Amino acid sequence: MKLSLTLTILLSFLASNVFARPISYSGGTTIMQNNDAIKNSIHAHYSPTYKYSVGYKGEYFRRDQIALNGLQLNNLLKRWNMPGSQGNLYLKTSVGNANKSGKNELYGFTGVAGDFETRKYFISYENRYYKSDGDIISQFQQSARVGIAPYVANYGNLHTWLMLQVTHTPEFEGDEVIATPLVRFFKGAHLAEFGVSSNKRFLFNFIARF
Amino acid sequence: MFRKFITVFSLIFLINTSSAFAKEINVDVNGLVCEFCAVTIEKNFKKKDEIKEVKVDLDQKKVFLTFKDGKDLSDKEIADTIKNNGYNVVKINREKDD
Repeated sequence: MKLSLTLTILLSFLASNVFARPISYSGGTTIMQNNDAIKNSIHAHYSPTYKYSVGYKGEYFRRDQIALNGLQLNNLLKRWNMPGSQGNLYLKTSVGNANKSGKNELYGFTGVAGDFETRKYFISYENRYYKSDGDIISQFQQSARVGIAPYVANYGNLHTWLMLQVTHTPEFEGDEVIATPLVRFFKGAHLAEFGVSSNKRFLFNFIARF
Repeated sequence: MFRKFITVFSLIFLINTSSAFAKEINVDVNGLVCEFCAVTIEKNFKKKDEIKEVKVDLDQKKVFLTFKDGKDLSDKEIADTIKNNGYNVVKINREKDD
């Protein structure tokens, strides 16, 4: 289990972004990394169709030293394609092993995520509830983002976004609400984000699609 | 000398007209708002043997397809490729046909 914990932490420094689309194109593979004020996570998934993806999810909650390793399924419940804008609604579910101080439990989470974007504006919301079959984890978390592109770039050019992320975790006493201003760079199949949170934590997210 | 000139001129003319009349189609698509949308469309059309070149223009909300000589895709195949990757076809415009 030590190996599993180490692997989760190591992978987490490489990679899951809750604010990027969790499904790729048909036959596409994605690696998503997220290192924010609360946790480090990685999500590597494969999309048989644009409607769902399945893959490994590893998360490490730094404050409580909880490592989660699981299988995650992402479903696109609904997409709205409009001229100049798009909206999406997703359902995310995961099951796997929760580890804390050498103790292991079965855990799962489920939640919905939605986003709406034009080429100039972006807004998203996501929630999820984690629960293990013992006392390792029982946690609700929700996050929202707003973003604006200072310039509108065409395909093949560097896209830049200025965003504000707000995360609400009621169980995190003293850090229930964390705000993180960040900048997103997006070019081709690669996306990177950098920010600093209100509790002075560095945010770094990276996504690569293949 | 004049014959040589005519031969060279004819060859150049044939080469130029051949590429000038390569079949091109452009498609109006709804939902094309981001870099990744464009990557998705581009990658999936590039997998097809019939396609010589794919260009996605987010400003115009269009996908431009150029076919290899003598090749084509039906409107249904084009629409299915875009639809099966999560986007909506508004209109397929066949501008230059052989």
